[in-house]
Amino acid sequence: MNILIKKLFRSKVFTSLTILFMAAAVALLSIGICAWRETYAQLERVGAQYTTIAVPNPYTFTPAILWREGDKTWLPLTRQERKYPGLLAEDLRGFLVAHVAGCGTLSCYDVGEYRSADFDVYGAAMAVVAAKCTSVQNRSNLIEHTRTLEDGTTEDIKYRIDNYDTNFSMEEIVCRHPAYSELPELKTINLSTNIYAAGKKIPFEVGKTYLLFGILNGPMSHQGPNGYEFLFPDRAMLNVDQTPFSGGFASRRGNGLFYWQMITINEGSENEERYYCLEDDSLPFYTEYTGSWRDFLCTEDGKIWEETLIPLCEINHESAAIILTDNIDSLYQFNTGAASLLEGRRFTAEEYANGDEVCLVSAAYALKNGLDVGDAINLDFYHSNLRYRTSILGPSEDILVHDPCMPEARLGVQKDYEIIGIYTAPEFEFGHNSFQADTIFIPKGSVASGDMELNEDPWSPLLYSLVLKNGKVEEFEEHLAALGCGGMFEYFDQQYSALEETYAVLTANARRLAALGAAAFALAAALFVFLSLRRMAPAVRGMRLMGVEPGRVWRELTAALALLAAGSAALGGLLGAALYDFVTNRVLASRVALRPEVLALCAAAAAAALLAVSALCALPASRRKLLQSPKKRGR
Amino acid sequence: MEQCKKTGGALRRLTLAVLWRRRGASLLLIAIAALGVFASTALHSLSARQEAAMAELERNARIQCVVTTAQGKNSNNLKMISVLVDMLLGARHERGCYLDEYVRDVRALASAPLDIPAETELRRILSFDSDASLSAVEGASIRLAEGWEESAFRTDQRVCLIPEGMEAQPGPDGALYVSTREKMTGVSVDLQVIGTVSGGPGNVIWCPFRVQRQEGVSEAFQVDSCSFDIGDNARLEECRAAIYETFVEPKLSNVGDFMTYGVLVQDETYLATMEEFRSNLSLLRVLLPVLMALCGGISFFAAYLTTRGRVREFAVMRSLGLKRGRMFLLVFEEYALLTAAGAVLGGLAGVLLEGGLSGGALIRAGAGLAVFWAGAAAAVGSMTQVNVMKLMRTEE
Repeated sequence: MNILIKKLFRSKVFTSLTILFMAAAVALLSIGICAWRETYAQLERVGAQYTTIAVPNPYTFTPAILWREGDKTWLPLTRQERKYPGLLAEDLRGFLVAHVAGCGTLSCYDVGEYRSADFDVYGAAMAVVAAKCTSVQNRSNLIEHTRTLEDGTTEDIKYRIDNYDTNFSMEEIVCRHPAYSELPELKTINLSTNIYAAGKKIPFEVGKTYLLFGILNGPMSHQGPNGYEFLFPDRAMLNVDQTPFSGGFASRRGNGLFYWQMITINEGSENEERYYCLEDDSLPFYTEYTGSWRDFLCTEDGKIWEETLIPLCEINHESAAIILTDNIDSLYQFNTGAASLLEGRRFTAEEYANGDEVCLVSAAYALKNGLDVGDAINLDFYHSNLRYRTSILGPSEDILVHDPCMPEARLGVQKDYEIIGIYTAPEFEFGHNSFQADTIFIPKGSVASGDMELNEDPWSPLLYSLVLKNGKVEEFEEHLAALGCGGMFEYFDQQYSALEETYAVLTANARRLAALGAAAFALAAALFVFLSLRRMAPAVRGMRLMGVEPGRVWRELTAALALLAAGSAALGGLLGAALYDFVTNRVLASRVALRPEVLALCAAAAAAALLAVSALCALPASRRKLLQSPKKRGR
Repeated sequence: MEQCKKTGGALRRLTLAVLWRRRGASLLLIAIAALGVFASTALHSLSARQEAAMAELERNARIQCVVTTAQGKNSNNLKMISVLVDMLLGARHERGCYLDEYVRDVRALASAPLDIPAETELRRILSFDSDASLSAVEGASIRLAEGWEESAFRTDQRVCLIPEGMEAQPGPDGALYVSTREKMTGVSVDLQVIGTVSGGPGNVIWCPFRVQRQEGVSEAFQVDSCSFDIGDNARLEECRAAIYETFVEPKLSNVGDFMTYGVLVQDETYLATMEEFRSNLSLLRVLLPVLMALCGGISFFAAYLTTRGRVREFAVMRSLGLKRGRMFLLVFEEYALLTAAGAVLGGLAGVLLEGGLSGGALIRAGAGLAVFWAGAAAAVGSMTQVNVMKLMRTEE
């Protein structure tokens, strides 16, 4: 057996004390490392609660940053070859609309929002009415402007745009959103449009009755002494050809509900005239009937109204906008607190990743439809484009509009979603970052599959934002500026910058704690090796005198020291675990938990370090010169 | 006396000679003592720095509170009477309402249509972030005239911002003015233009929330939206209680009336953050005595192990007539010198790295030194209780 190990077992007191001494040092080291590790875990937990986002500025953001080099297709930043420092993720949100069976869409009149009936576009304002034509007035506007040609020359353009005004007296409302029944009785409808019948014929004649379909706005209102009052309470405008200013249909003219084509008469001449006609496959916005409209619906001509237009109204009266997202906090409104959770909870990371069928609805929508957290709603999805229109009745601000639920746009995906949270937000708000109160948020993965188009639109701030690493805003903006794309984004960090100093102090403290433990361990290890070698020196000398080779002496010496080191590390690990456990669980009773794997790693690393140092120091000890007198060695 | 002095001097020289002879162990013990004292002061300053940083966070963090209806709706179309905003601003002290002591940075927006200019809206704001349409994220950019600041909107001055491109007329003082007349009240007032807005709505004029439109008349009007921050995060619960004396916690199940409004206090993230930081600080505070105990243990074992090899030396001293107490003092003096030297080094390191030593740190350093001395005294005391006769029998 190893002589030196025998000596250790013989000197029980020295061996025990040495082990206890090193165990205390290992305990100090492991507590320091554990506290350091736990601090970083805490800081990660803290950091995870803050989301730093970059939102495109609607006036300075250009698509240049998203163009793939070489062609005209766009590529998200996270998929480009060029790297962006601090960029964590890109939330390209999807936009759809859905029919929500049994849940009425929110009208601005539901919440007393009278400032702009523009908010009710498709959905709440879609209606079918029976009315009698009382007047028709044809008009023609002369348009003159100059056009610059490709060769630089200019050309004078002059033509007439024809339109007509028609007034109707109400017969009966066939289908209209229930919120409008609270309004004063509707008596007069005005239709002003430049959509004619074939041959530039005005489709209406005075005295005849018609079924009309389109966007029937509420009466214009203004603020009076007692609040909002209607200017012409019994009058409404029927819109059939109003279009948003942004977006549009590249291939055909229209507004998502109707499609029309331009007809030009006497083209190129001084008498050039232009007017519009509905395309053959467009839905109609009028039809003449005689007698009772109910009987008309049973006829062949009335079939499209009975089977398509009226059901279309009913579907859109139960429609909602859907925003699909991978991170609700990357939305400007939620990030800045303009929208926040009233009841329930947000989506979890697993729900985003798995595409679970859960959703958030607004407080106004929940109250209107008697919904609560835990209820399920059925969503039948439709494609929809997101566009903006300038409000014409109030402040000249932009209002978000989207397409109606149209049969040809149905996705064929219909699912039940559980309401996990109810949010509060401005119900009807102007601006490019605002969404209306009938907006339902769902995890993107719950619908996206394969090539399904979700109308992701990086040019819409509502549907696109970047998620940055906390504290990396300046670095990211500098990089963009170097690329010539500076100032394109506005940044929001949920006040993470307010805690940066505290963060830095905690990080520095954690490092110092670990460093202290390491320094204490290092010094203790030095003393341990020094005392152990000194203790074993006589035995080593004896072995060498007896002719034992230095190599064997070194091995036995190292083995003995290794035994001490292993014992110290094991006991120190247990001591550190017991102390840390007692402190955190009993005294703090919080989430500052002990991680056994970290502790085991510390103890193992300490043992390995001790062994390495011992082996190294044992080398000269095992090769001592035998002929040298003890006096010269300082004894 | 001379003899005592000579003996004392010889013993002191003996002490120094022993320290020099055992310089390896001495240096290590100095280093351990220095580390222990440095650790005491450093750990004290760690927790002090952390406390200061958390206090800074408490001061700087903003906990936003958004006013809604009692059911949590309509945060931008409240139709709330402006008296409630006055209470938040501290303008109702005469009625015993001191809500302003619990809130800060109030933001409010009230809009009213104008006859003059036609088809224009007047918006009363307390600050630029009271109106979302003035934010950079909506593309708006505000340019103020020289000498004017955003704080003007917290006064009752007759000033305004107008959209770029809106016409304004020069007044007798050379400044630009815009004439306004409210549609609802018919009140006319000329507002001095102090800045322009580009990228915002083109038919809105912004004026201070409490603008004096009529001399000597205190107006009440409807407020569209209101939000504010908690006044003192350190007294969060007190502030919440004060706010909920006037407002309610919004819930879908609340029954609302036109005078009851809710306030949503967005403090979840702040509370979760502070809880993490406080638990970290608590951990540090609780670990300190544990670490001090470990340092004491290390000191005891270090002293014991280094003393243990000198049993024969102590036996010789005893057999030469040195009393136990004297021997204890002699040996303890060695450790006292070593640890004192270590303490000085540790203290200097603390001053260099921390930029100074506070009173608390000095106390901790003193406590660390005392722990070391206690450990060393215990070790030395037990080792110097050598039984010479027993030792001689063992030797035999």
